[in-house]
Amino acid sequence: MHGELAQHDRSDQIVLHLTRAELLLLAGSVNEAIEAVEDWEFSTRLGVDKANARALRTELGDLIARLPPE
Amino acid sequence: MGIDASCISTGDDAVRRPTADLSAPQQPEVPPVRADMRLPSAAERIEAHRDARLTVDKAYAKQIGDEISGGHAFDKHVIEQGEFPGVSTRGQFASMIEDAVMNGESRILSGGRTAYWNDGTVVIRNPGAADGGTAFRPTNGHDYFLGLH
Repeated sequence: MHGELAQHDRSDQIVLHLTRAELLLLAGSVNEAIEAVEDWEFSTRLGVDKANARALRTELGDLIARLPPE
Repeated sequence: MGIDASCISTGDDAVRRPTADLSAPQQPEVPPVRADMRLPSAAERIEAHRDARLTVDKAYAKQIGDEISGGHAFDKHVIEQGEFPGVSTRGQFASMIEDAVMNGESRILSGGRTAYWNDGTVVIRNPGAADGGTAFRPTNGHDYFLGLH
């Protein structure tokens, strides 16, 4: 994986280049975090609301669904 | 060996003359309070600043300990998962959290959160959460602490 960051870039958009395995790991990690961490503790340990994590899980899932078969 | 000043002769009559009938030399009267006043030295100012800071830090640590120990973290990490052997009350849990905040390694995290590491215990202070944060003992220890962002 490598990311592209423009120098002094303060935007919220960061471009990541992932291998298929890395994308699956990232999606799986988000999914496991949602499953393992209770609601009351989620934003404290992760820094974002669980709803944001669920949205990211959906986006990652959609991306994985569009991957060409291996 | 003591020296009695009255036995010392100076040869000057004025010195030996009783002074009770004479008016005292005119000295400006200094109020007692003002006489005791002096500017603190640099070292005293530094120490006073340090003491004041320590008092504030202790109060902040106590607030965090009280908030977190009064929330879900006690039920989950102390009672259900038994992560803190020897800790059985919210007061003991609060003391452990205070100790981590006062003496532990700290890291600034996203979203206004702060994490503390002390002897296997992680405290995450989250002012935006109802419980004020959480405290637990991660199985991955210090690596977990360093993985917080």
